Amino acid sequence: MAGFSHTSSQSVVTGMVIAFLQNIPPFQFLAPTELARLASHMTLEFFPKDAVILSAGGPKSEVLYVVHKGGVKLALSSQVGKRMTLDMRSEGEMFGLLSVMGREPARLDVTAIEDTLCYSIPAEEVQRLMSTQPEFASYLIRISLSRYMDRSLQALRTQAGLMGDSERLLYSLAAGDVVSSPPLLCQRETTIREAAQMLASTNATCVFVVGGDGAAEGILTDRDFAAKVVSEALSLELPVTRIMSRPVITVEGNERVFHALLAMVSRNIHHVLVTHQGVPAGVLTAHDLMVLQGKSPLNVVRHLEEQGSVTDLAAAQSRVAGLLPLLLREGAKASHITRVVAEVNDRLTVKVLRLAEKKLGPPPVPYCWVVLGSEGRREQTFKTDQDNALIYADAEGRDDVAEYFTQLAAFTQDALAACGYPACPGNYMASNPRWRQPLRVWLNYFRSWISEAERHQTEDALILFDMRPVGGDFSLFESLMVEKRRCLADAAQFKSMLSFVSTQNKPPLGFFRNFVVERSGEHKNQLDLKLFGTGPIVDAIRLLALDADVEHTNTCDRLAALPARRDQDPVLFQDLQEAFEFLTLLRIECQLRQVREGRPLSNYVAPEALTHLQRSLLKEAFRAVARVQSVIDENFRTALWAQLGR
Amino acid sequence: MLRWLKSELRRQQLGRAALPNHTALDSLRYVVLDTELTSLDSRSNRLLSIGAIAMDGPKIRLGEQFYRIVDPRVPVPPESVVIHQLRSEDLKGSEPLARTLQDLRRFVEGTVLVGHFLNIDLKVLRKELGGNRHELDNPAVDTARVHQWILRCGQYSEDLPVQLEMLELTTVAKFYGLDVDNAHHALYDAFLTAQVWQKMMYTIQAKGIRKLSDLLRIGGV
Repeated sequence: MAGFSHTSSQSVVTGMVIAFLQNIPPFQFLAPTELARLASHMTLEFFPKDAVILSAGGPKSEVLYVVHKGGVKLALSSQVGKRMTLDMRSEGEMFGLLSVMGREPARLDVTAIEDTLCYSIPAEEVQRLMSTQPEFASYLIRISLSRYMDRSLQALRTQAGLMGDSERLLYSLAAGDVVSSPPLLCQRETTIREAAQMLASTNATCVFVVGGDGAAEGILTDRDFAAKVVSEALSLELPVTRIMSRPVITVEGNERVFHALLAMVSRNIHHVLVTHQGVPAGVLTAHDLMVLQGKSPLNVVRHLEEQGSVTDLAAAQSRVAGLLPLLLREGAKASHITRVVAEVNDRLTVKVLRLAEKKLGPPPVPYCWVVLGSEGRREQTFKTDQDNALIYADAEGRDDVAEYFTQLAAFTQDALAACGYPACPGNYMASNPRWRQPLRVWLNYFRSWISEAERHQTEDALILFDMRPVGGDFSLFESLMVEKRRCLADAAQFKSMLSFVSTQNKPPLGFFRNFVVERSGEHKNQLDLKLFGTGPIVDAIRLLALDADVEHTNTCDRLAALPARRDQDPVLFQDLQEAFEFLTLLRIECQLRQVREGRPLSNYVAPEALTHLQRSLLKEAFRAVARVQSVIDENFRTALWAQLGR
Repeated sequence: MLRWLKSELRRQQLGRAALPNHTALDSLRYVVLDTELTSLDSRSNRLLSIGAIAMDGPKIRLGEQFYRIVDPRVPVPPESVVIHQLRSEDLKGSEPLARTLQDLRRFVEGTVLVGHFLNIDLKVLRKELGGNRHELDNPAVDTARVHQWILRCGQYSEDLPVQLEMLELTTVAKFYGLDVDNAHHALYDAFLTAQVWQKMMYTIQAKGIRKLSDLLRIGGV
């Protein structure tokens, strides 16, 4: 029938099919001609609500389905006839893949949850593309093998790595031209101890294990030593083959640096071996690539510390703004990015305090400068408000002490403002006398927040509970934390009140698949990623951390340190961590765009403007939020009811 | 009497097209068709373009499309250019009408023709084919008629008389929840009609219309 369709100029209908496929992975990897060819083999099928499209154990699927409009659910029927919904697929997502690839019966029931239009692609076409289009194939294999969040985050990072202005150097330089030093090599028989000594005695960050033919077989990095030797308590006399990672990712010296970057981003590794005709010739690290572009975070930080006045500091600080897009392009994890930002902010603050002491003279009594809220959690993205406080040693009856710290706080506030950190609208700053107090007053603050559990004080408590010391005498801060922990040991009422506050903002997901967006106003059809996404995760995890006596302030650190609860699903924390990473990354990306377009920063995003992939991930993230909120509800509400019932 | 004659005639035609009356709707092959014309006056109008797409039962075959532009050999009335956006310049040098129609004959062979107000299209096509009413004598279904039948089958509402009058393709398509963004292009309209027909098939089968003969009873032209 092909003879009947005019292929010389693409038809409107084919154009519509291509326009749809072009935006969704893995079809976006195909050339337009390939898409047109594919379209000519496809059909459009309609399934009314509740129609069963595939049934478990039934005939194998002859086609791969891509949802065009509507949505389907994938369910498993148990012997007793109950159906458990495992997953949902909405517009732009596929189903029937495993059945098509494995040529085997479907494993799940697939049912339309509303009137649904699907494009279907015959199995032969899918297989032809799998064998001729490597990118298409690797995507399909990845999604059929790994968990959803994993693969999607990876794809998103690759995307981020490709976004933005092209870095010409990456495309023009050959990998061989960039490597600085020859790689450290060892033999299979080398012991772990010897390898560790090799690393320790040089600046290298990795050792390659080479076989008899001189080709690299494995790589050893800090990660391998930490993860395998230390945690498994292996003997140091064992051969390195016991702990090396495989495979070694290599690029030939004449390949573009860009290929090395892609390899790093897509595999989430930091070292690529550069070979010359198969022989190890050098190492390229993620750090090398940043240095190549003159913007290593280390350079920026070092540069800050060299400045002698607030004016110079402010000028140096402007370079920090260039860091974020760079890190994002490098495919850094969101938590990594925010940590770099926090590191820079911390060093800047310390530098400002040093300048203040130089001007005002040494402090009359020890003090500790602490940061609060997102800064305390090391979760700032772009330059945000100042959130800080000051604890000083008790010095009853000495007016000069209070006066000194008033000036110190004022100086610091002005200096930070000059460096581009605006004053906090909520006035959570050391320049506010309420947050500039001797230790004994601070102790009383924490005691009364926890024991009185007053609703109107929770906002203060939430921000202050993420306190982290940055400059001065940390022992003052430690004393305060000791008291906080003592009070928290018996604070059911306080925790149940926090649980109430922490679950106030429910994730904006409607029934099944719709985002609940703002209905009117400036942000019509948008939703607030902080209010409904990162915020609820931070709040929930803070409460769990307080309850479990976990000292960290950073949400990811808290998640990692939290013991799993018996009553909770085992992957919840892992999913939350991924959700948090994703939401933060999305916020950063949106804000980057706002900066580029000269718009004011906000946390709003329009789901409509996101890619299919991002939308699916966003839904996944919100589902994780809902799950942790129900854990909180179940665990902390009882005390609240008891209190209300009294 | 006239009715009986007509249906008798239809039965004979069906015989020629080798499509038994009892064939299930899902196993029939359809070609959904639309044309753009110089005007709606059936005495003087000429063909401008033909769009058609094939369906296997309820599946729309995206690769089996037919789209041709035809030189009408008369000036295209300006008021119609606004609708279909085909100017005389766009149509000059199109391939000969005879060949286009020959290809169309082959494309629709052995299928049930489907179209929205299909009799308008068929009339023009037959006229262009030399006035032979045995041309394109496949079983033919008008989705506008099927739509009216579905409306009448549904619950009576006060809107019904109004709805029965609102039979424009775009209105009907929206009624079935379809997005309309490219109307008055023959191939697009054929595709849109195919999607309408796809949804109608489920509706009418649920109401007991399962065989070709049932379908022709409620929507045949």
